[in-house]
Formats: sequence, C-alpha cells, structure tokens
Amino acid sequence: MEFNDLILGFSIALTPSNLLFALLGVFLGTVIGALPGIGPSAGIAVLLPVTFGMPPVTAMIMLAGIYYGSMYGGTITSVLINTPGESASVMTTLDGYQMALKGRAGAALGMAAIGSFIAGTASVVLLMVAAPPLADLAVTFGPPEYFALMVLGLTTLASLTSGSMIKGLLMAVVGLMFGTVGIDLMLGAPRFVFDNVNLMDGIDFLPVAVGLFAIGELLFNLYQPVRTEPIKAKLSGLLPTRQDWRDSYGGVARGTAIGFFVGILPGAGATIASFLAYATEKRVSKRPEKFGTGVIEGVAAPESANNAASTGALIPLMALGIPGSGTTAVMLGALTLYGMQPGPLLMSTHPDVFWGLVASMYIGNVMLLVLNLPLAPVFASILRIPYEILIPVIIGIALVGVYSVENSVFNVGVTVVFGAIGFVMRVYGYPAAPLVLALVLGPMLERALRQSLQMSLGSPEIFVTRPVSAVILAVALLAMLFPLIAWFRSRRAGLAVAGDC
Amino acid sequence: MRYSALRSTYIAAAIAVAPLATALAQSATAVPSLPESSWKPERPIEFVVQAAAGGGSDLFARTVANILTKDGIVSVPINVVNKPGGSGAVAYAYVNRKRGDPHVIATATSSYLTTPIQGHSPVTYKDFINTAVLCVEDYVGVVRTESPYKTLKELVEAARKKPNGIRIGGSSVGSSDNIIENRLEKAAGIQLNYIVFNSGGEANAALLGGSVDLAGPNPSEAAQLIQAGRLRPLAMFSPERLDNWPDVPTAREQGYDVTLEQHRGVILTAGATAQQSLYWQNVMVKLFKSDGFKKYMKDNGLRPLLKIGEDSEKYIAEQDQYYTEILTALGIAKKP
Repeated sequence: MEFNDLILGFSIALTPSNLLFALLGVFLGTVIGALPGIGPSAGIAVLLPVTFGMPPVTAMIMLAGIYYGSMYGGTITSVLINTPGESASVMTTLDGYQMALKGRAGAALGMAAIGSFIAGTASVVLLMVAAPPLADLAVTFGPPEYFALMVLGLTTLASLTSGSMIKGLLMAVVGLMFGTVGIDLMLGAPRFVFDNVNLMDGIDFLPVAVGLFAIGELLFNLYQPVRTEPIKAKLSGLLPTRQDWRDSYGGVARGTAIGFFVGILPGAGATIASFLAYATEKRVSKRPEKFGTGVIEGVAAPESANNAASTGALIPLMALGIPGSGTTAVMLGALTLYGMQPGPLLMSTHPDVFWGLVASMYIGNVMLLVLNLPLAPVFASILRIPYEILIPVIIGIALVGVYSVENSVFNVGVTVVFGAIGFVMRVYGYPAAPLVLALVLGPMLERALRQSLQMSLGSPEIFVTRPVSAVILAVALLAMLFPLIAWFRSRRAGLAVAGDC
Repeated sequence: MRYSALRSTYIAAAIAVAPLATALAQSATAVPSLPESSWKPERPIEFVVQAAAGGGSDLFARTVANILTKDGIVSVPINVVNKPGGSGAVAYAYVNRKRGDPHVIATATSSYLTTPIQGHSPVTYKDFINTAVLCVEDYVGVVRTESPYKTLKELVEAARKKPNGIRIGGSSVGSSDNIIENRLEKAAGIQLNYIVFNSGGEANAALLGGSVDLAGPNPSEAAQLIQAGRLRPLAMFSPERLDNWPDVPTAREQGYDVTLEQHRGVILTAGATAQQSLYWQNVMVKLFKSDGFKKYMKDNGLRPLLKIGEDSEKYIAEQDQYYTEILTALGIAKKP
C-alpha cells in the first residue's frame, strides 16, 4: 500500500458528489436494513438502476454504503420489535429485544452503533493493507474446512437456548429438516418439492425468519392477556453507560475478529459470523446464564461481527473478482454494468475505484455513527406507539418486504405459515433462533460434507489430514466437551464440600 | 511477494488490453430485412428475467431494455422484472400464465432448455414463441497457474492414469461445466471427478485455492484472472479460436471434439398474433444493429449470432435436441 493511494482515495471520496452519495447510500442502507424482509442484496438489486449514469466509483461508494449501512439498520427492528431486518441480525433479537422490554432499547441501539463503527473501521483498515493476501488465504478454505466450520456452528446451536435444551435441539432438528427441501444440486433429484416450482430452490431463509420472529411475536402479543405496555421512560439518557461499555468492549473486539475472518470466506457470510460471535461471547462470558435475558454484550458482539463481515466480504470481490455472498454477487454484476472487469487487476487498472471506495468507507462509518447515536432514542420512541397501531403496520411492511425480494407471492405465504408456527412455538416456549440458524447451516453443512467426500473419493480422512479443518474440528469437539467437563468439575467441587462436613 | 509482480505468462502476455474484444467479423450474421408490423405496444412492457439481479441474464435484460428505450426502438417504458428460482421454472411458469399478452417478453438462455429436459418445469420451449437469438457465450477450460498441466492433453493423460483423479468444479448437475465434463470424458475416454459448488463464483474460488483442478467458466469470468497470471487457459470449447485469444487452442484442435455454447435470446408468450410477433422480430433486428448492443457484446466477450423468427425456432429446437442427448447421457433427463 502506498500512502499516496490513500490520499488519492480521500481526494476522490471527499468530492461533494461522492460525499453526498455516500451519505445517501448509508442512509438508504439503514432504512433497507431496518425494513423487515428486505436485506442488503435485494436492496442493492432494487436500487441498482438508480446508479446507472453515475461514475463507477460514485456508484460503488453508494452500493457499498447500502451494504454496510444495512448492517447498522438491521439492528433497529431486531431490538425494538424482535424482527430481524436482515438475516445477519437474527442473533441481535435474542438479547436486544429483551433489553427493549426492560426499557433499555436506546442503550442496545447505541452500543450496536458503536460496536459496528469500531468493527467497520477496523475491517476497512485490514481491507486497505492486506486485501490480496487475505483473499488468497480465503480461497484455500476448501470444502473440508467449510464442513469443519459448519460443525463448529452446529455445536454452538444449543448454547442459543436460554430455556429448555431439549426444546432448542428439537427446533434445530426441525430447521435442518426444512433445509433439505429443494432440488439437490449434486444429483438433480427433487426433495420434498411436490412438483411445486417455488420449492425447487428450497425454503428461503428470510421469509421463515420474518414469520417466526416478527409475525409470531406479534400474534403472541395479541394473545397475551396482559399487553406489553408502551415504554413510558424518558428517552433522553438512554445511551449506553460506562458499565455497558465495560461489559461490551471484549465482545466488540471478539465480534470484529470473528466477523472479519468469517466474512472474507466466500460462501460463509455475515449471518454465520454474527451467530458464531454470539455463541463465542456466551461461552467466554462470566455470566452465560444471563444471555437471552437482555445482556448488552449479546448485542454488541453479533452487531460488530456482521459489520466486520460485510466489509470482509468485499475482499474476495475487490482482490479476485469472486463474490462471496448474494450481496457481493450483485455488486459484481454492478461493476460489470459500469464497464469494468472485476478481478485481480481491478486494484491496479482502476485504483480510483478501489481507493475511492476504501476512503469512502472510513467516512461512511463515521456518518453512520453520527446518524445512529443521536437517532437511537428517536428510533426507540417507536415503542411508545400503542401496539394496536404498531402491529398492523409492522405486518404490512414485513409482507411487502418479503414480496419485493423476488416478486414472489409464494414467499409471502411462507411468511404467514411460519408466522402461525412461530406463534405456537412462542406459546409453548420453543425458541426460534436454533430453527432459522439450522436452516442456514444445514444445506451448507450437507454440501460441504458431500463435496469433501467427493474430493477424497469417499475417504473421511480428508477432514483430519488437512490441518485447518482438523484444528476447527478439534475446537468443535472441545466446545462440546467443555460443558461436560465444567459439570464434572462442579460436581467434584460439590463432593469435596460435602466431604468436609 | 507473489502479488507485487504479476506473472506474465506466455498466454497472458498475448491477451490484449481490452481482453474481450471479440471481433464482430468472427461470425458475421446476415441481418434479415423484415416487413414493418402494423401492431404497436399500448402499455408498458414487462421484461421478465429468469435470474436474480446482478447476474449475466439480468445484465443482458437491463442492457437491452436500456438500448430499446434510449434509441427509441420501443416507444413505451420497459420494466425489467426479476423472477429468480427453480433454474428458470418460476419465471417461465409466470410468463406462461400471461399467455396471449404481447406486452410480456422474457430472457432465455440454456436453463430455458435444460430445466424442462430434467422434468423440473411445467412448461417447455414449445409453450412460447422463440422470437430471437442474439448472441452466444463460449466456455474456456482453465487450471490455476500452479497446476502441473500445461495443455489439455497433459491433463487428459493424467486423468487416464488415475480415473477420478482430476477434479472439475462446477455450479450444479446439468450445468454447462457438467456438460463439458461429460463431453470431455466421452471424447477422451477418461473419468473425471465432478464436484458441485453453489455457484460459478464459488467454483472459481475452489479452483484458485486448489480444491479442484479444472473449471469451465465463460471467457468474461476468467479474463482478468488469466491476465493477472492466476489462471492458465488450456482450451476453448468453441468451434474456432477466439480472435482476441489467438494463442488459446480449441479442444477440437487438441484432438478432443468438445464444444458448447450458451445462447442468449428473447421469447414471447404463446398466443401473440402474427403482427405482434413481427413487431418484436423487428425490434430485435434493430437492437442487434444498434451500437449499444455491439458494445455490450464486445465488452462481455459474447459472439454475435442473430436468429429471427423461424430461424430462431429452428436453432432452439436443435439446441434442445443437443441438450436432451447430453442430459440423457448424464442420467438426469426426465424419461419420456
């Protein structure tokens, strides 16, 4: 990296029109992230035609702004109404919504914004100094390594449940089962498709998440004899306290690291990053039993992770021309539309685009912090709206959002059906998070397993002979044994005490 | 450091600055002259794309819509509508429900044929008017630069010594990579190990990371990686060498008769009248002659191929027969 390159970048990013479009991008991103159903990839796709006619660097600045801006925005609805605005915010609902119920929505939103800012900025630094070597590292991650990562993900699923472990695991199994629907890519065989063209690509994650979380929660609210009262607390002074910060900074740091490294892997993405960050945080926490009841580090860690991941995902795109996620695939298409060939030469043939984008991301993250911190209490004031008014509005927005992603009425139906399922689950105390995460992990796990075994012509040795995969699997094994060891030790300690008597 | 100096391999050096300037002269297509149509659209056009925004088909549709509007070829607004899902099945089922409405057109490429052949779609190409084929895209066999294989022959010989020892990455069963694999196996009498990834992008990542040995992307997808010295092209799976890649031999030249091309065209719902059909044929001819479309083909490494009306129907039927034969050999065609 040349210092001059960064100067060039800032000279491009600081022109009035680029500043304006960066601001527009992060603002639209916040809105898109906040709207349930519309995630960043759909948002960018819908807004793509708007960028035609702009200079490529301006267009990329705006699109990237939408991408990382949506990671900030996704927090808002997760915290306030238990509705993940996009898939990477599912984990935020677990503690964020509980915080909102306790009247601490402002603190949750504020901490999410600060964590996102730190994670976003740290990731841009890494993008700037080390994009090509990091991209090369990312592509060495083959199917066995992905398999190991997914196994690690599955072992942490149980830790997402604050209530009954059995119920959590049951829901994970249900999620894995729904994950098998669709045409099998390897053999072309339809599985649980019932000749319905809409089921061929499987059940989409987003309608399920919106149904289970948003619609399910809203129905449950109507069903409860005692309504959740709108918050009456004063809204000023709802920002994070010193204690909140002390509780969160470790989570922000770990979330950033996990998010970034999962983000650069093509095919893993922000959702898995936020999920691993939350699970890690719970495991290293001194108060794991409080997770799911509204602890602030349970918001800070996944929110930092999804932001770091969205920046990390730009690395294989910018350094190799390989899209690692749905959103970066749309951005790759956008680059082509602007007449550029994405690939390893992009940084040298179009330094203005790369460095302008990098510089704009520093500025964009500051803009988002400035936008979100003062606005956190304002957003939180949504909770003052009576439920009779809020609920129909949310349901309307959620269904329109789900429809708009693929112009699909079928997905609206999926949302409604899973809304009903979510309601029943809520009534009987079955957690939704393991179900949706298993739905994401399951197909990836299956694919990675089959790809690996095909690579090795059937020998499972491939998982342990490749060092990276072996290490991750060992960590997963430890993660499974850890609670057992802890239980064993506490029992011995208990026996020792008993022996003293 | 490996990245600082871009290795200029023999082939990469031969690739010009504009790597995809496919010479238009390569397959000079005669442009037919048609009588004018008496029909004109009365409402905005719905242009259905069978894939998500940002992909090749989306790029095609948005470029076409843009040119048709800007050059005044179509006087009403054109709305591009993405209906992804089921490898085209969702979109074509939707278009079929609009039967008889000449204000609905759709993009069509290989999945338009291969999805119904596998029995995954309720409609086939016979349910639509195949108005025009406009261009085709080729495929190139690539290995990573660290690979020991310098020619297709070396790779084939390695595969002969060790059946299933060479891994080829692709995006799904029945996709272009799978077809190339099957044709190459048949032509060379070898057995390759086909590994399915979720998308072409993930397959390229697996190739760069060494998880697979060979991939068959479009030239436009591979151009930059070749130019930067990260991938090495072994063979073009086209009938002739590309004009701008004169040093990349075809598979046919190397003794393996493997060719595959992906067409891009536009279809119309069944039930349109002869005049309505003629209107769209005229539009497509004007589009093909426009500077904007020529630039699009050049920028994206597409080979111009114009088939209009009856010619288009004939071309689509031939392609369908070709795909049916291959997919039957792969064991994934639906039994008649």
